[in-house]
Amino acid sequence: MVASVSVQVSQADVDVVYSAFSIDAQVSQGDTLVVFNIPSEEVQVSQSDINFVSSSSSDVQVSQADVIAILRGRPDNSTLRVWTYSLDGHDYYVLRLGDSLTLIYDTYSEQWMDWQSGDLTFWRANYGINWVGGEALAAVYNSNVVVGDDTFGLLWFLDPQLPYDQNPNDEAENQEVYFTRITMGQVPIKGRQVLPCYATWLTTDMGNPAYTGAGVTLSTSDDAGQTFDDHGLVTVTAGDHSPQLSWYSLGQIGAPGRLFKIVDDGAIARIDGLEMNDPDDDR
Amino acid sequence: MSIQWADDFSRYGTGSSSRSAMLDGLPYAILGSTGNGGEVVADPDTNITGRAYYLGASSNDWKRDFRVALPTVITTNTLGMVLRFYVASLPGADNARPTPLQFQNGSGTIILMARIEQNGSITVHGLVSSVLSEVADTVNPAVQPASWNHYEMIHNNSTGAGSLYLNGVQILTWTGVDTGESLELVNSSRRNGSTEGSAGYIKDFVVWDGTGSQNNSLLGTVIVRRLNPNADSSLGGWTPSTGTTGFNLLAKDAPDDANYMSADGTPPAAMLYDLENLPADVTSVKALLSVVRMQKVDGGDATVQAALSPNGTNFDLGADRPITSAFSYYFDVSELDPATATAWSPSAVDSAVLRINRTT
Repeated sequence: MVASVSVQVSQADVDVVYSAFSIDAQVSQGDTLVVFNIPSEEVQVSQSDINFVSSSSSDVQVSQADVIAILRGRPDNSTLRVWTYSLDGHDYYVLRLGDSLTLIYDTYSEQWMDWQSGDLTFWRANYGINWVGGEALAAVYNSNVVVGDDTFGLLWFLDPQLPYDQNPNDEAENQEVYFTRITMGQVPIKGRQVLPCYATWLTTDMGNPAYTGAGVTLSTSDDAGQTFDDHGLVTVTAGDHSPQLSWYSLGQIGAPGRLFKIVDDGAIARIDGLEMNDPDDDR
Repeated sequence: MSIQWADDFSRYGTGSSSRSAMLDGLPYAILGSTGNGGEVVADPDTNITGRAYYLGASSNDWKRDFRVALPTVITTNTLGMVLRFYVASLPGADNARPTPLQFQNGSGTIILMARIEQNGSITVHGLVSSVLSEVADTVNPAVQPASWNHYEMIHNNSTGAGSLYLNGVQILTWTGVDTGESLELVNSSRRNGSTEGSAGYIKDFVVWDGTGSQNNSLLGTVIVRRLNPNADSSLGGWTPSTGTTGFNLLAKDAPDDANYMSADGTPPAAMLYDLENLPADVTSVKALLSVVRMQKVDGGDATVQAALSPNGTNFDLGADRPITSAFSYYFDVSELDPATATAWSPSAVDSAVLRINRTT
């Protein structure tokens, strides 16, 4: 059992929140404010213009324009040089006629040739030798012929197995620089004779072009080389060792005869012969 | 971009007015003083036809005789300065020694410089522990006076190492130059003090850096040549100020702002020009820079864009440049043939056209 001993309350009240108002209100002044415009009797305008945003200038004038080119070039070299080298059983006699021409004589085939480099009218090889002591490098480059290049200031090995030139800039992306070989032959005709030319066949080594798309073009001239007719490009396919390239229906040959020009940009490495078929006399 | 600027000094005329023209919008910051130099002149080698910049030396500050503000500041990359330098005679006094190649920070403090000594040897001085000190020396004579020599100074601002090439051959290397300085200016001077020194000339001037994928290392013994417009391919909607052709109004050996091609406020079709062919003995092309001098006639907007193409179809576009209302030069660099994405070949340059197009 639990029992309260006693509860004693000594104070008790209630708090009341209330509003009170004045019993008496007295007004001593009252008025009303009015907002209004008073128009000016006269407006005077002494200057007037328009500000505008222009989108373009009325005129542009160009008084000078050109292009600066940063170039590498080759020095003038008017020196005439004669040198020889032997390669693949051929003895070559080289005449470097300054910056004008490079003539090559092959004592084996007894042929004169005109050799050029790229857009130049001459072969960049300025001088060369068979380097007898360089056999170790010769084994790598397939010949011991070392030539000096006076355009790019380089030494080259002549590699008979390389169907293109290497780029003189060894950092260039394209290291294979293809070059054109041109060979010409002639069928002479005298007087009022004519000779039909039904077809020609070029016998070569085949199937190893320097690049995809390389081919051989035959063109002919009936006016002693003044003008040439293009008979078309025959593309050589890698792995196709069919030994002949052919061109048909080449018309009649009159005096002074016909020049045959074979242009090859890396399709073949060797030409065995160009034959012209004539059923009348078996030429 | 790797080629920053190049010049053959052939478009500014000669005499004191040429110096003013060079300061019209191109990267030249300060060009010494006129009087005894400080202007474009005929090539000092009488066997050569062409022009060269004759270095001024009448001011007291030899660090400002031919000061170029680099379009691209080099902080942690490689900077190359290329020029041919001709000095009439070897220096006769210490403070007259030519300093044809100088790299400076933005305040004009020399970070690196090559100097020709009194015996014709070449020294290179670099900032080492904040003191300009010799870092390489040929000791023996390397150059003869009264002849052109080709210099190329290459410095890696990240490693503090570099090399100097004379006529395409490396003759000096160095290491240990302070890094952390930004290379902002290059300069060439015929002296290294207040003495005037022997007459000094420069030509075939090129500045390159290592920031791009092209022309970012040794440039070699390059030649700088100007190719003028030599025929109208198309005038588009542009109007000659006189006559009926445009190329003759733009191909100039000195500024002549009285004769010009004009495009009105409605941007017309672009004008295109054939260019002169390269010399026959050119073997490779490092870069092309189009340089156009133009103005707008009032305060409105006008932008012009130059472009180069090898075939009239594929264009390497320059920046679309706002033009000011005073005749100034504007230039753009083209390092790759836009048709092949490889370096310009000589034959591609021979067939190239310059297009100038008002865009707004």
